[in-house]
Amino acid sequence: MSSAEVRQEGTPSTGGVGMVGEPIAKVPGIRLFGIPISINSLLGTLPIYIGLIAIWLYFDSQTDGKFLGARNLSNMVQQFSYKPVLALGIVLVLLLGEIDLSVGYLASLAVSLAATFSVTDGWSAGPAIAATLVICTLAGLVQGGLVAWVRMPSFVVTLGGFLIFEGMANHITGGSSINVLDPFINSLGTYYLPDSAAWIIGTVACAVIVAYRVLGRMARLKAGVRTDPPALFILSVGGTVVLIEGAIAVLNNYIGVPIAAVIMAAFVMVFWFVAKRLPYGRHIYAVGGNLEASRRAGINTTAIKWSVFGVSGLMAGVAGIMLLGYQPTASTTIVSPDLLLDVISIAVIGGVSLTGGKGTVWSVLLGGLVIASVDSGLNLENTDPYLVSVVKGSILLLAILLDVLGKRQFRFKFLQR
Amino acid sequence: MSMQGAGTVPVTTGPLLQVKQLTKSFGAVQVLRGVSFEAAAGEVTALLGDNGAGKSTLIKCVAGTHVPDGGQILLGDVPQNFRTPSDATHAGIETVYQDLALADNLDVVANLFLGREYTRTLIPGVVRTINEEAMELRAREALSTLRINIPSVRSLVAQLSGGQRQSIAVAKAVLWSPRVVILDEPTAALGVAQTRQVLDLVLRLRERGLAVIVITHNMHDVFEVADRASVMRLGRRVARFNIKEVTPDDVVAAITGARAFDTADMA
Repeated sequence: MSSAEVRQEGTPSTGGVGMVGEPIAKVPGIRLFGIPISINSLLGTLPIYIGLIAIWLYFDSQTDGKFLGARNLSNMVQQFSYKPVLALGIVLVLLLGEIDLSVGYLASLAVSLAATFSVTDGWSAGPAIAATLVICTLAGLVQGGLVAWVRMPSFVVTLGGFLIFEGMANHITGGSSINVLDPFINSLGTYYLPDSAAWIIGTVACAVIVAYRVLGRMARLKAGVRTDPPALFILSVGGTVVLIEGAIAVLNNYIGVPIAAVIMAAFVMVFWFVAKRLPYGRHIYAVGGNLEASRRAGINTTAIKWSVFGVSGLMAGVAGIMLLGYQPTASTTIVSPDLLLDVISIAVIGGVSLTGGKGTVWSVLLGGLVIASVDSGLNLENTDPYLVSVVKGSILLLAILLDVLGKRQFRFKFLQR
Repeated sequence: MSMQGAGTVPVTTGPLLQVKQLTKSFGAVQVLRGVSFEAAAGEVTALLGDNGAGKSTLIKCVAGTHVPDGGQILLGDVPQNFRTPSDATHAGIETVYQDLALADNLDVVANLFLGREYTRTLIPGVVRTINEEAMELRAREALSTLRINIPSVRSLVAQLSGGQRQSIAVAKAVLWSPRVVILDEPTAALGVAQTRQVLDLVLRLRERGLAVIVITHNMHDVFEVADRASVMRLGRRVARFNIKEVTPDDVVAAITGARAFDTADMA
């Protein structure tokens, strides 16, 4: 038997030994450091970066440089970190090809619950937070159970949850506001790391990232499997370090790094690890890509779906508590009705497809930055809140339009059961 | 025209897979009425029949998807009692269905190992991470042995052609060293060149000593790769052929029932 090798990427071939060849469909695109970048991925993210820069320049000019000042950037991070955290759960749900419409009001319910436990029941922060997270996770699991086992469409199940959680959140507080005085809960939204602590945590995080990437690259080189070109590797690792340390430098220039930003970063890292490095995450992508194939491959697709809705509920709880820390007056008005729209926008702007199986957890950072910038900029400009909704709705439609253009096939799996 | 009864087949190695008098009903509909079938190692056996003849039901019984009502399935003379698809997989029977069961959004390596990823320990007893290097090396070796040519094992399956996708689906089945591979209409949706590619792959599976079962409607494929053929009609086997000794007309006549064959010992 003659040897036929598996060709490496970038060498289009017309067939191997002993096999009638066929031209390999070439994906149109450009090359960057030897890595082919398809038109589709360019179409997906490049307009977002251009749009983000345009948004920044526009608001900066409108606010006489206030927008890009350290003070506003710091406020932005402090104020909006809970949204990417909430979006993390939505990203996993969207990867499955499902949707969770309930997360906005579940976060609202979490605000009411944590405030009630803390103030009305007089619990200390630990039990109040733990109980809130458990209840939110269970709420997610109940919805997930209806989707995964009963096979109800997630669109309908979570629409029910949307109403139920809104009602419960209002019922628990009786429509009045509760002032949360617990210092720990308050610190989640108001505490800034001292400059030195921020540098130490940031540098340790960078060291871990660099070590992990270098060790991974060495393992790949040793095994003899394809690795990124050195230039790309250095660019990507170096870029990460520059971004982290740069953000710390900017934030330290005002008061410091808000603890909320650290919580958000930690959750993003954990979700990245789960999604990319664990079989569980691989199986989430597989279920979103081809449910039947996943089932035949022996993956417990029901359990995967069920658990992901549980995670989505948990993240709603975390986001609600972070929000309560920032605005310690718990009333249902602190959760904007736009919150659901915002987190779906965050995921879609970051490149997560509504049709399932496509996107990464990093998307919450890019999408979160866009949404936070719009929020913050419109707020600085004192824009009519009704117009804010118009702007945000338009942004969501634009992001989905890019997704459609990138894929051309557009099917909502969660509507077809 | 040469027809052989069940007892008169010149057996050289003995059939690896033997199905005896299998029956299966869905409600009032009796789909399998005591069908027998066998496939030998190192041979390609075609399973033929018109729509509704019971081919798919027979294959699903062998693959563990359906549990038969009666009859026997023997693998290497050992009676099997498959309750689930994974029972059949563990016994060494892999099935490649017509719709391929590949996740388009994942790359070739991820698809080959889907649900059976290689892992390494990160935190003992708690966290095991995916071992991409080991999977990639094994994938390259497996594809190279089968002479399957794709741009990269890290290509997304969505970027591959129909023939390449079919080849990946077959490689996914063969990766776990099965003894029997069942291919359901492997060339149904393929063009001429891609069909050639997949048929060559079928022959390579035969070279490796596997018992290969191919369900097909395509006479050309049958005469291209099959050593033997069994024809089903209305839940029974109505004919079996040694492909070298018959013409396509004989086989078509058996499928359509235009000609009655002696089915006394056919069961």
